[in-house]
Amino acid sequence: MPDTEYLYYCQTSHFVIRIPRGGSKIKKKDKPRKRWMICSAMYLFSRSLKTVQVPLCVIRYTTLGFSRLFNENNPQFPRKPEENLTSVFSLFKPRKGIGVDVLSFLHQKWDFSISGFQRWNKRRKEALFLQDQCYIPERHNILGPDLASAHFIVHRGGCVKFVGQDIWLKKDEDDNYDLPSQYKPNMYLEKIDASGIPLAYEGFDNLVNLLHLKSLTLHDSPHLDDWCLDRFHQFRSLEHLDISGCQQVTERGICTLHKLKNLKKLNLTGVSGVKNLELVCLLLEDVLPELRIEGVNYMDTSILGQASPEK
Amino acid sequence: MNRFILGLQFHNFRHSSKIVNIFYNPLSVSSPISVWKILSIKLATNSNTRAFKDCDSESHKISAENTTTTTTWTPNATEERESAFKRTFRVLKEDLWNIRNSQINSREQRIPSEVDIAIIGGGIMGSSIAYWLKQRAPESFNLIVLERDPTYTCASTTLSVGGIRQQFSLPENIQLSLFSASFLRNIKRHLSVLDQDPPDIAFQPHGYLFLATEDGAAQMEANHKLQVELGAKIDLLSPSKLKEKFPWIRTDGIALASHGLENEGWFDPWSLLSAFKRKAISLGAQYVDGEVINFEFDKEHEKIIEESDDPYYSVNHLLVKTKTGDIKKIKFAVLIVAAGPSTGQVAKMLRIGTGPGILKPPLPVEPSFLYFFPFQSEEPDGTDLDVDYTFFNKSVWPVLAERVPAFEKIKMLSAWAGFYDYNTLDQNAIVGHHPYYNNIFFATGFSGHGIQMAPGVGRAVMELILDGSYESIDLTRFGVKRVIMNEPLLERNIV
Repeated sequence: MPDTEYLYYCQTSHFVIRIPRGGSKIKKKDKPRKRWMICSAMYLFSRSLKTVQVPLCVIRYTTLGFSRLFNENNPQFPRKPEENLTSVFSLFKPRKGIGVDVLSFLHQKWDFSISGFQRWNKRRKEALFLQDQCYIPERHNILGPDLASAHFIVHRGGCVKFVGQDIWLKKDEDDNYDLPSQYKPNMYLEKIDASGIPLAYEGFDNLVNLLHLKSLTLHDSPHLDDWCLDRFHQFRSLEHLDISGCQQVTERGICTLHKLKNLKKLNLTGVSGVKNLELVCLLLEDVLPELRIEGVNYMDTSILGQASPEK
Repeated sequence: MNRFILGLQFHNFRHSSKIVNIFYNPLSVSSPISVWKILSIKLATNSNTRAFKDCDSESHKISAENTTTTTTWTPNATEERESAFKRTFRVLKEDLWNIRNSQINSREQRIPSEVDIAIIGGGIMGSSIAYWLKQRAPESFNLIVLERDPTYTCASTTLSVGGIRQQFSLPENIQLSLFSASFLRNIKRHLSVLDQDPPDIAFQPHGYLFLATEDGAAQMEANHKLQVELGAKIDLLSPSKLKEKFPWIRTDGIALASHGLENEGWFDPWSLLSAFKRKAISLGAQYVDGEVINFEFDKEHEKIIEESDDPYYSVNHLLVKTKTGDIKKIKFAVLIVAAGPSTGQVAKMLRIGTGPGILKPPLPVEPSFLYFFPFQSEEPDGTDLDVDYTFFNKSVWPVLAERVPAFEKIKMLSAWAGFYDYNTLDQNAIVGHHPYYNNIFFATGFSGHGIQMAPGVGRAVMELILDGSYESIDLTRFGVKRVIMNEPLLERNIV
């Protein structure tokens, strides 16, 4: 919790920035400067050792030891306010010394091949994509659940339809769409069509509290898997679900749909990852009597001609 | 000319960090291996030198009787300093012996004589810790995992059901389980190895259902409140709602039911274990096929135990017996004991339970024998893994048939037996370093919950070792301290 003595209190992932209210003396101590000198010496030392082919255990012993040396014996957070600021560098002093990640970075071999670069790029793009999908509380606080979900889906290329309206809303070629930017009462989402747009597990965090949602279309959704299907219990009023063409769905995920008590139509055309599709659908229709499943041919006798499974 | 290299001595992991001048002349070096030996010996010795026993590379046949704890925990009696020339020649001799051995037995595994981190136990806990440590700093330290049975025939991991649930009453357990669920969800991203198929754990998201009578209803409600607060998706059902949802259950005597909606179910523990192991090996961990038979203790004169006359013995060497019968000594800086049901035996080797003072309370982890039927159950004793099929008819089936009338006509399809690493104190995890030994960490005593907490505990132990404290989930309450102070931390109302 921020201290009243301090004007500004900011926490980043690794260190704290404290800016005290005016009037505190900034004393110069050479301890931080010595640390920076030792840090740079350490860096040069470890790089030079790598070139001289001295075995790794020396580097490990020494650099791991250094991280212990710099590790202050104060794991509690935040740092005590009695500490005076010693120099301008100590504002940026990490809470716990150099840390393992810096040393690990110094030790690692760098991969400059093209495939290495491609892999790095792919990982970076994935991380950005997941960051884009995560839940933003402000969006829901300002717009309410229905409008926030609508904005989320339409911005990424999907279509939505509200209760009482006939038109599907989606964005045009210039990426413009006509949705209110403030909360409007009595606007409830009825149908969502998120076919083809990449919607990850974290993206479903945004589609909560949709009490009037009747239809969800996720045709050809590339990231849809069993874990996503597991969380469809959050759409309690769902009546129509279309997950055709999703390759990562298996029979275990389809079994979880028994929690959707209002489900009336389910489209499973082209889910090739499911084994024993007919059996699973029969069981599901048994549990949910009003359910009709499309994309399943119970009368398909070609499976009788196949070899029986391993027994 | 000699070159000076400033380095830090790293004999005992946490505290002793003196600056030592190391001399080495790269021009006169004959082979890199001997440089390594000289440097490491210099690094390892402090003012309290002890002569190295020369059983590093030579094959000894020590019979099992000689390696009991009562006889071999005694420290090395001779503390004379070895002269530098003698040491050099001995090191060179060992190097030549190693080269000769490696030419003869090139297929046998090369067990290193020194490592930074040693993990006893290659089951799910050991592999998870190895993975988390290596993925944080792949090139920074040396790590070996000592597993005595690489086929995992009797391991708790492979014989477990592999269930995961968030319905606990301790917040740490709930948080660990939630993190493990999110880890398993992203397992393809975390544990994929280049050029090999991504792992598939076949997760069945079916949820756990707990039923409570009148007496336990209040506790179940309190548990549910905590679970929901921490982010678990659990539904509380009254008897009528329960009947609606699951009409085949007889609801007499049930006051409340708790059904897990998300992130609960079961998966294949063997594929998770092999995914962890494969990824850890790809990052540089070495799995050694051997059994730890004993440890060697060093007397440290500088350390004094308060209010006691006993000298302090630290441990940095372990003796491992390979499958050919050779005994090898391995020097380590940090030891992690994740040996599952055998952790009690390993703790005895470390003088925990027989030593003075803080070492007196033993580690209360014992193997507990379990039967697994298609409907899981518990069992009193047994030492081997043969199933007593009549037990199902006697004890399990009546209870099931009473609750679910349709089960009166069930037939048992198969059964198998396995071990829990059962914590006799409070059936909860023992995670953390031992207060006496500052370089030994435990991750054991999970009493059946190990498989679902493995990713979370692996990360926690990694943070404890590399960062010095828990960063994400605080497991201080699960520390060894509660074992020593005899303060059980029980789960309320949950198995």
